Amino acid sequence: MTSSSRHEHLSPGQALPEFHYPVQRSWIAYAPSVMLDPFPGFYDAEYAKSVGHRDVFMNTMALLGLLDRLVTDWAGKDAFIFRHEITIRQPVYAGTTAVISGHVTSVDTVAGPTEECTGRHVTVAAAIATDDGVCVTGSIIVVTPL
Amino acid sequence: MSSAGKSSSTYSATVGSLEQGRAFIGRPQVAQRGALAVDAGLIRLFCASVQDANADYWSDDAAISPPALLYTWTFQLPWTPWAGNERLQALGVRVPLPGDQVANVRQSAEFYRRIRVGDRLTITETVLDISDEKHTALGDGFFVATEAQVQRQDGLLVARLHNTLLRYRSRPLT
Repeated sequence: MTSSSRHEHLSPGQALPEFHYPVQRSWIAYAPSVMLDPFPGFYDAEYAKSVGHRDVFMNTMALLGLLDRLVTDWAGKDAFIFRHEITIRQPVYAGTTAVISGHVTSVDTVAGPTEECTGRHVTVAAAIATDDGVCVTGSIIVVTPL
Repeated sequence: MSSAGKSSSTYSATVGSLEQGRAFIGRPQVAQRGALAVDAGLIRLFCASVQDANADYWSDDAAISPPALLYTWTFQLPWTPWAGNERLQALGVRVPLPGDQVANVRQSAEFYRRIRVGDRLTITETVLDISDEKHTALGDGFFVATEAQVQRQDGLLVARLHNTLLRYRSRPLT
């Protein structure tokens, strides 16, 4: 199925395929070296505990990466993420399994400020949950081929 | 800084008064160029860490950056030969406030162009608002809202960012 035929009959409420992500501390520890995000709560469990956490936890960029992946896995590689928004309600801790899910909330044809932003804007409400409950909510607007 | 137990790690947000912090509101800061050009190797490492198979991110030529890495391309390195350990932190961390600890709460970004390998990004940040003191599960503190514009090497606007950071003390404020 091509990405355009997959999106021909989009409507609000349509669920995106969810996926599971094992939250390994070795991946979390990429934050300072790969993402230049040096907060010790991402690699030093004792530090994390000293500032009110139970363990190391994922940084914002990696969480956004999971939300974006939910949408681009579904929309196809030519889709353009126009906007993403994330609210962190509680940390995603090492040792948990995250479930990333979402559904379409609106579909609109929009003339954006650049060519890449112009086209069909599909808005997706997304969430990341672990055994601790919903940790992250987000909203992503992706521009898909018409 | 609060006790770090057995940890030897430190993280220093700038401590000061609420009045000192609020003096930053509405004052655009000096534009900062990111330390690294958009880099195919870092993109692959990031995609490996979130297990993202998007072919555009793994392309041998003309790879693009995942949008989630936007901040990375504006950050400074923890050490350089010319500045040593003097690293310019994100604005929400370096605004003086009573809270010495940080927790990111909310972030949004609007993108106008794809970010490509070799691009060099520059960020200009502004504090929009600093809340009154709030009670949170982590401790008492202040929410700092910032906005930023991110431009490419040719001056074109790549993205606008909004971020809300909690600046708190992990022990009760006195």
